[in-house]
Amino acid sequence: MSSTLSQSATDESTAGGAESGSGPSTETRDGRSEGSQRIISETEEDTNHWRGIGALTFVAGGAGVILKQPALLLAAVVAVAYLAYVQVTTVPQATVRIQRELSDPTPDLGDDLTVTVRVSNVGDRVLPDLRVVDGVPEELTVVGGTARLGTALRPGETDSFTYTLNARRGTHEFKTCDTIVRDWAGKRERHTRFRTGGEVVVTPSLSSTLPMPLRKQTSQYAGRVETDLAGDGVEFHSTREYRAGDPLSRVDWRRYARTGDLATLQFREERAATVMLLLDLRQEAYVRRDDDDLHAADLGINAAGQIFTTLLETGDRVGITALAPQKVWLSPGLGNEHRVEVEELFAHHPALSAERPQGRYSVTLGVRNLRKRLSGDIQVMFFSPLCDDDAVKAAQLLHAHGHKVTVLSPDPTNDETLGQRFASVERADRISKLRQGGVRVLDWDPDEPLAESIARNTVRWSR
Amino acid sequence: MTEIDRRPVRLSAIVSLGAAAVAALAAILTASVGGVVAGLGIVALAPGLVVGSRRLVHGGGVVLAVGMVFAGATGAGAAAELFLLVGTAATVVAWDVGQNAVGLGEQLGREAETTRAELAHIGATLVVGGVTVGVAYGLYQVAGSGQPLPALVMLLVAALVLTTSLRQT
Repeated sequence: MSSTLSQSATDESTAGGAESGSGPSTETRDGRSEGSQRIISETEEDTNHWRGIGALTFVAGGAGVILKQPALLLAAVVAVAYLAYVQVTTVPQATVRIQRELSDPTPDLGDDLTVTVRVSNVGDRVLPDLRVVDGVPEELTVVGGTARLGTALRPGETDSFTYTLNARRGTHEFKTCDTIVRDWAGKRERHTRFRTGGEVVVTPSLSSTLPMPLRKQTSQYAGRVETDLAGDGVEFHSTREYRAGDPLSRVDWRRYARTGDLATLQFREERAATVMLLLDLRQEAYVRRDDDDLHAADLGINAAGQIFTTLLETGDRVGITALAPQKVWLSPGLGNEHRVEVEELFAHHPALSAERPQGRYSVTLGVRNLRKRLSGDIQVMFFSPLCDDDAVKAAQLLHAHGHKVTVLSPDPTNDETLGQRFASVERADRISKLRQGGVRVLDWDPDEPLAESIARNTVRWSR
Repeated sequence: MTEIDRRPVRLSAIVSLGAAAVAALAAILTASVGGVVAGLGIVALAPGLVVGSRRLVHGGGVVLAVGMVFAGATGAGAAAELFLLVGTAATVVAWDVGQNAVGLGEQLGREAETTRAELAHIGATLVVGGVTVGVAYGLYQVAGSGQPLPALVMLLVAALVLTTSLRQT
């Protein structure tokens, strides 16, 4: 599902006819069209590094003349030599090829992703002072190593640096790779900005988990949800008076033997459900335990991905929508095509990017719009940290309008400070309020796997 | 994202301080007054290399150079010419490498791998300094001792004119 491109290409800088063939990996020239490396901007500037060296010449030389000290004249000679050195060195072109390699082409959410950047000098001049700053995608955090390198490269030589990123959900494009080349003396430097392309696509792992118990609100299709309707099925439901035409296998023969009355057995009908996964992607849902953790919204999206896959496998119809400033809507559906659409949505939808949304969002309006689009037999699975009363209101409104609501709530609260404990108590209060109102709530501690939490928490749920 | 440590890179900072120490030593050997001034230069240079202040590094370099001039003006030891040559070259190295340390720290940060860039820069500066000291002292020993001072001055001016003309090409 997630695919990643490690890109590289030759540069088109004026390398004095330098052939990239001198580099170690020429096969990557094929990738020229898409991820090709090209120069965006190039500026040369003075570093002011040697400013003042001339003054040393005159001060030492002048003092030497006045005081008639040959030693001072010799000191001035040193300064003159450095002055000449600074004048003769020139700054070379940034004749480099930059290749970026990812340790895992298909990273999962929260994985550590190691990026190796190889810098080769494909020109025919020595680069005495090459500084490389890699453009790490904005939303990703460097957790190990640094994305910067200072090196010196002879023609054909390669140096590399490695850093580790924490993979967060969404499509992340590597920004430009900036290089600074200085001459030997460091008097002038050339800033070259390369566009290298390449992106990391991190999607929630769409692996299935334990079946999440569904509410008894079903469609007319056969499935696995046991309903209160009498009909065909496995589990006993009730008996009724025999009517002509009932199949003989359904006749309650024991009763007939006992009383002489014909009766027909009825079973619980098993139907498929139509489930709308409702993601809470409002600003308020972007809360987390500490800075290293994933946001509750991210956890919710990840859980939604797993539950989506599971429901699809059990033959239920699943759709996805969100309480978010941007529109997220995927009608309930079945089959592989639907699965592909959802993968696409998870990978590329802007509302599902790892960034916290900016705009405010009215829950009342959002739920009203949502209600209009949900047909009556759809049940809702709501993924929210329940860290504000609006989330509770959304669940209650949907419940009030006849949709059975299950809330899967990743717990983002902590108990280190008084404020955190207070938030935790408030959240517990919201959960019990929802449960009293007939909404199912699965309180998920993100430290344990989702499947475990489902298994443990749903034992007591009525079927 | 964790903040990048923008302080000067270590290797260059150490080399810079080492060169400053050599310069101070050369100044002391020439004339103790110069040594005192050069010591003041190190006092300015060292904190500049720790916190990454270009101004302090510049100041340290200037004070070191003034110390060398003082030493050259007052002292007239047996090998004053050689000490002063080495001391001036070391002053320039301390100033140049110190600035480079600050620059690398600003652009790449202390955590980045910068050894190769640092070594290339340090090496080039040292080679230029070493060759200059060697050639200048050698020429001075061979030809300089008999010449009158004005001739040496004219030679110096000629060298200056030559370097200025190098800029135009």
